[in-house]
Amino acid sequence: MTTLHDRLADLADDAPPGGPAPGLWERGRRYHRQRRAGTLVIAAAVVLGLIALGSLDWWRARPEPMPANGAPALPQRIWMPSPWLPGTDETGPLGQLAALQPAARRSWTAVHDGVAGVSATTGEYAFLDLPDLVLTGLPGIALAPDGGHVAYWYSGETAKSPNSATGPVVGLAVYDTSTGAVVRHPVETDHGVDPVSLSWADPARVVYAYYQWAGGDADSDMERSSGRDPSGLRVWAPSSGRDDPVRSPGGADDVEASTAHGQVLVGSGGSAIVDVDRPDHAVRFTVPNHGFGNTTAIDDHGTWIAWPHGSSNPGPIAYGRIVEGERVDYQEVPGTRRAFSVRAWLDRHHVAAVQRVGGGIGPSALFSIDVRTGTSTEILRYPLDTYGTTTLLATDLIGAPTAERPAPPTPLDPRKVAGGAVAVVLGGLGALVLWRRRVRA
Amino acid sequence: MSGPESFEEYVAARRGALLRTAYLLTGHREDAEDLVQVALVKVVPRWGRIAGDPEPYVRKVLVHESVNRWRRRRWREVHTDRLPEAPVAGPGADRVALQQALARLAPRQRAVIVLRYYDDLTEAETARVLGVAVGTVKSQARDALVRLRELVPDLGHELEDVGR
Repeated sequence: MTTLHDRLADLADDAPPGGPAPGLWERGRRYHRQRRAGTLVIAAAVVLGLIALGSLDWWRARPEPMPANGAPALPQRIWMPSPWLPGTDETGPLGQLAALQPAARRSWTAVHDGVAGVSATTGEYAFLDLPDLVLTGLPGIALAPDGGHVAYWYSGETAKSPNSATGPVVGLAVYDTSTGAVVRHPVETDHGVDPVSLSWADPARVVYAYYQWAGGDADSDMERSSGRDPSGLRVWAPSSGRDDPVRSPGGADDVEASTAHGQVLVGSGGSAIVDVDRPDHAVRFTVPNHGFGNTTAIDDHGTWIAWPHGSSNPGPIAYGRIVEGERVDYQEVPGTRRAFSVRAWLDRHHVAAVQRVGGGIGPSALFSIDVRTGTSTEILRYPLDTYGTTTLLATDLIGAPTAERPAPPTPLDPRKVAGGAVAVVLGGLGALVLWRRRVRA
Repeated sequence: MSGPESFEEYVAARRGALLRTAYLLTGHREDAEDLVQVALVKVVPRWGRIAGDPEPYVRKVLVHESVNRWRRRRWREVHTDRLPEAPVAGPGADRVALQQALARLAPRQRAVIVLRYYDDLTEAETARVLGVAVGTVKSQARDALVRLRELVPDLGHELEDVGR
């Protein structure tokens, strides 16, 4: 009986005859050489592509040559740091800081609020890795006047249901910018606290105030968003741990300015200057036409005050002498119509104020302004579109000469770098497959 | 000996058999010649490693090249559900019918039929050549035989044994 094998063998009889086929060996060697050469070229192109990508990544992330540690100074320009800038856990402490710049900080999967520090001696930038940091707006963080410490609110566990949307904040802490050490000052709280003030009374003591949240996640909306039991103004010395209440007129607890010598201005609109060591000697006064908060400066002795005048911001700078129990008899500084805030008194006749450069729509800068003539000199330039409101400066350095510092590096998005590397490798593999198919055997 | 001499000896000895297999895979004399040439050229770079027993690797390259060529050419071909008129009778009629039936099998099915029922490889050997599981070889063979029975009815009684 015929089988399928027989039928196939019968059909195969139509196949061409066999026999030697000269030249196949050489053809095979040539084919091998071509494939190998193409493979090497593509592999080299992939390696070069990866090297180029790595080099670009390194170039963008490389730190500019920093000057050797010199005299502490403010930089002539503050930059908005890249969200991919490394943190101090990676770089180590920056040492004395000239400024803090809040900025978005990115990881591979998320973006969150961060605070970059700017070294006072080198101008180097790095995100501060502050343990359990909670940024709660303007009172969320404070730079000591000498730039040696950073005070901030931190989150943690509460006694009862936490008010998670607000942290919950369970204390304040101070970060040493030279050693990286953190001293915590926990507060007793059921649900977390709502910070009201955080400022440096002097380079060693923090004044602060908060309310207790009335409820946590398990409570009603009303309780979750209501504050109670104000702490009142308090002063804490991180080095000794001493914490004392500070009596202020009318129980005012919103700190608007500090002399950095133990005196703070409290009360919206400026109601009193309180000496944290002698709270019974508070000087009460009123500030006319005071618009926005946290824009006022008092001099080292607590006798002169300057602020953007009027109900709109920016506005002209007003200044006057503080007299117990009286309304400040003020004068407008000539030629200052577009000041956003006054940051410090530099001496008896000069204030540091934030204004637009050139008066039009442009970047903002900190100027030294002679209150008698309005003559101004630029001290430092702020990042675009920030109006200087988010940048915190080491106020002790404002009167000193500034230094030219390099811009911080702008590292590439590592996700894009990884994607580019994968694309280069996949492109190489694709090219390899195409090439190997195209080479004729 | 693993150089050109052993290669030339192998080609002289086995090229005829490879051409017969290639002819069954391709259905064309020219294609079969080209397929065998390309397969032999492609094994040269690895000849040093396979010279002791080149047949399995050569067969593997031959079958893969055949399947790949079919894929590359498929888009150029015009498909039809109707076969050309087959010779009604005569000594070549059976050959033509089988050849046309093989041509209508999927390339892997055709390869399974040729390897299993012409080259007499076992299912395991066929699976190794094709780079698939033994179960896949079984199912491909079963489907191919069913198709062959449909396309060449007079093959039916010849396939009864092998189909089981």
